[in-house]
Amino acid sequence: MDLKNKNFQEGFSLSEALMAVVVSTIIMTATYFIYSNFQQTFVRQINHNVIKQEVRFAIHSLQRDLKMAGYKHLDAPNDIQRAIYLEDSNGAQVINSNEADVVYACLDTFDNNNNIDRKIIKYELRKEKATDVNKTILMKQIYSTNNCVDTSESANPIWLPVAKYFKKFKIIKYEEQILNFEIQMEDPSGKIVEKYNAAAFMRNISYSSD
Amino acid sequence: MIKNIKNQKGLSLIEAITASAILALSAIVFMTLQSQQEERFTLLRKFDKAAYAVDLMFEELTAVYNPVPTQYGTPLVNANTSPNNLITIKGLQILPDVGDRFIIAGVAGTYEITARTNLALNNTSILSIERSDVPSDTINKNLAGNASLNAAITFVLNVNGSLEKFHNLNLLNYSDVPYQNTLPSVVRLKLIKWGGLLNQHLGRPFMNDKRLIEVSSVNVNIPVDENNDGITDQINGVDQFTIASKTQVTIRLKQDSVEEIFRRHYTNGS
Repeated sequence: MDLKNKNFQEGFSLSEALMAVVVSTIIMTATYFIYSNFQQTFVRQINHNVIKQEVRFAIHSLQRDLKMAGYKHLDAPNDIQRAIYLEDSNGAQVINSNEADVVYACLDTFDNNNNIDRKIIKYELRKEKATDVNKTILMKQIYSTNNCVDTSESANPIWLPVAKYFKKFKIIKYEEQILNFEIQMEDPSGKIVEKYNAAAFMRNISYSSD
Repeated sequence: MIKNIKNQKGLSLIEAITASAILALSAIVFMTLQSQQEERFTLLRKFDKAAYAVDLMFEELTAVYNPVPTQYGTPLVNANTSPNNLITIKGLQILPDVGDRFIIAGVAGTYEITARTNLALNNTSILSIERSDVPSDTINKNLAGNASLNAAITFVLNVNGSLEKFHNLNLLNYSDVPYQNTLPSVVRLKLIKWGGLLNQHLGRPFMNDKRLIEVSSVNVNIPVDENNDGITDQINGVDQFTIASKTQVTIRLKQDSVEEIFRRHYTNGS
């Protein structure tokens, strides 16, 4: 250290140092604010993509199954007795143009031995875990039936998860052949809620005795 | 330190202002970018949901579409008829609808029913008609020639199964009652439902925004594959095609200067 030149040393004065601290604080705050905003947007886009992916698959699955409601194989001995059936959450039947919570579709498929196998496909919003408060996961059951009316589910078929992050799922039947779906999705962070509307045209209904 | 106070170098006023300006400019650029990204993301979300609503519209149009025309019995011309805008048809079991179209054996043109009388006891009805195969501003849309007694009548379009009534349907006007009143009841109900859905998903429309349905007929080349080997048949090395006529529905959505066009083709049995 050059003690002789002590008087000529130049450093920051107190006011300069304070000013520098204030300026750098402002810059740091602004930088953090901008970074945080970008980060939030990025996370939101990822969460949005998650619910988009879930709803896309849910609608695809609903349309694929429910469009076939009422399909009777040419060799099947009996007509499809009840192609589509709607219920509310208490199990009461829901008539046309009203919102339902559960949908049953009846159609002919083939079993592993290539025999005609009449099935019911049921969709319903359920809780993911027993401890959950809200029903957030769309599930379906598939089971064989003789008359399309049997909803006892005596064989206790397993519930198959279709898609999650649901906030609302309602089915409305219009004009005998049209099902509308009203869907609300909520992302994992609970910050994005999106509404979707979709439909399925059930072309086979007119050929069933429904 | 005090002695050398005059030699201290700090920022001049101009330097300080310049530095602040650069800092402010950078902040503005960042904020603008952020804001634009937010707007684009919002628009993306809107169109994403609107695409499902459009799919819903296509599905519901599929339920309407029934291209095989009903003949309403065995319709024939009831009496020799000179060119005018009225013709009496016999052999009807059901009354045709206004908007249905037919052709008459021996007479050029396609005719659309604009009004009709109730079915009489002898299964006849007097139809008011106009040519539908000429430009809409044609002055004379009467019968193109004399229709003979017992000339066969063939219905080529039933308005109930046709999608033409949805042509030029402006979904922006879904709550406009005078506009609604110009439409058949089926179209009016769909207008209110679909327009409301799009408004819910896309938000309030701005000047030059568009939510429009267009219906047209298109011819599509379909590869010929008679031996079903998955390869287009060829004659002298040239791929063979057959022409199929389809009804094309186009839904145009324009919002905030972004335009998306959705199309679906409808064929018999689709």
